[in-house]
Amino acid sequence: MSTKKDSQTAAWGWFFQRVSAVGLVVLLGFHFAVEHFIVGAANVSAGNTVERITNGLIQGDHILGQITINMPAFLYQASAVSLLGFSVFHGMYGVYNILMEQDRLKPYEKPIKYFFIVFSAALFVQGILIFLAFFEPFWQVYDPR
Amino acid sequence: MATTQETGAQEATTPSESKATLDVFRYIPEEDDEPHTETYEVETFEGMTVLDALIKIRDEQDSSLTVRHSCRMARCGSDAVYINGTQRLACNTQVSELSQPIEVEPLPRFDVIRDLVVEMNEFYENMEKVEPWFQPDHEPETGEEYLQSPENRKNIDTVLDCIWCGACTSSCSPAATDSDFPGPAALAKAYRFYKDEREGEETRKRRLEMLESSHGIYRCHTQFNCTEVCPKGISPTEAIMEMSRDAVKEKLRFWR
Repeated sequence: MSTKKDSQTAAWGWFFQRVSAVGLVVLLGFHFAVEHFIVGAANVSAGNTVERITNGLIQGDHILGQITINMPAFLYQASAVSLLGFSVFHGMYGVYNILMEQDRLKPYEKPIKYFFIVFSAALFVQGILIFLAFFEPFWQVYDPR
Repeated sequence: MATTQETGAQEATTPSESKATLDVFRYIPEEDDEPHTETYEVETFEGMTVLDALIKIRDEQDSSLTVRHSCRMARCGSDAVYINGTQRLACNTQVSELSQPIEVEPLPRFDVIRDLVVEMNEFYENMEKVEPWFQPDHEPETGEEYLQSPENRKNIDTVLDCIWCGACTSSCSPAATDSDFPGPAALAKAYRFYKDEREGEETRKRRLEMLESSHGIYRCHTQFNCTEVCPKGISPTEAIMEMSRDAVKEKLRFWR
């Protein structure tokens, strides 16, 4: 019914799909808390984002006063990169599995698998490049013209 | 545990005190170009089931109506059909519980042989694939019997009631598109033997290895559709998840 390699890959895929799901719940909760509840839509700006990513400074004006959280920058950076990695893996592996459940696509399993590996890697690299761009001086990143 | 299904139960909106209207799926593949629906009205009585209504239609109005049934008491599993959008046993579903007209169709995903009767061969083949029989790897320790502890018996109690009706497999999304996926009924049956302590460790491992292909236990979407529609209250999803967790735990011990 199954080869050892096939079941090994399936087992690890199943495991990481669950690990990434838990990671997404935690990190998306953090993301929403920071970006939508503490900072608030009115205060979202490139400057605020750079401040958060480079210094870990999270600020927001509320009716009850200003909320300021100064967390270690590497924690915020790690959460951002983890969120990127978990999203890409969870989403792409999920779509790949759905496709592999279709009998008519099974003959193309290998090309589809390699496409998803390359596409996922490209998405992750693209995300990292955007992330790194925030470490450049603000005026080089955000140019309204 | 032949209980009335709560899944999909709707408020009764009987058009008249003693009559029920049924929209029944009709199709004879050799004769009809495509399926159609026929509407029947039947006199109801207290405690009337959908199967009672179908038999009444066949006896009194249309002898060509075909429905598979046998025990009429939710034991044989032969009359699983799709009633008002949910997989149910016709003999275990009260007419008075359903909104009308009552739509009765064959089990989705299975090929129709005629009217409400579907082809179950693939389902039975999948049940066979998981080797649903006792395979001890040692002689009985006392006398001629393999003794099972009450605790172990209790563990597999939940899946022992399966009547092979196919309702779960019909409701399962991966089973609908992936012909290599054995389906929830077969995997729950495998779980019944996997958890049986009398089979021995080696057989248990072999069973698990047999089930853990990319189109085996890991294919379950954890949607609990099968659990919702099971007329016997079995949760194949939980059985599959337990086997998946065990299989992954085995794999995670990569340092051995």
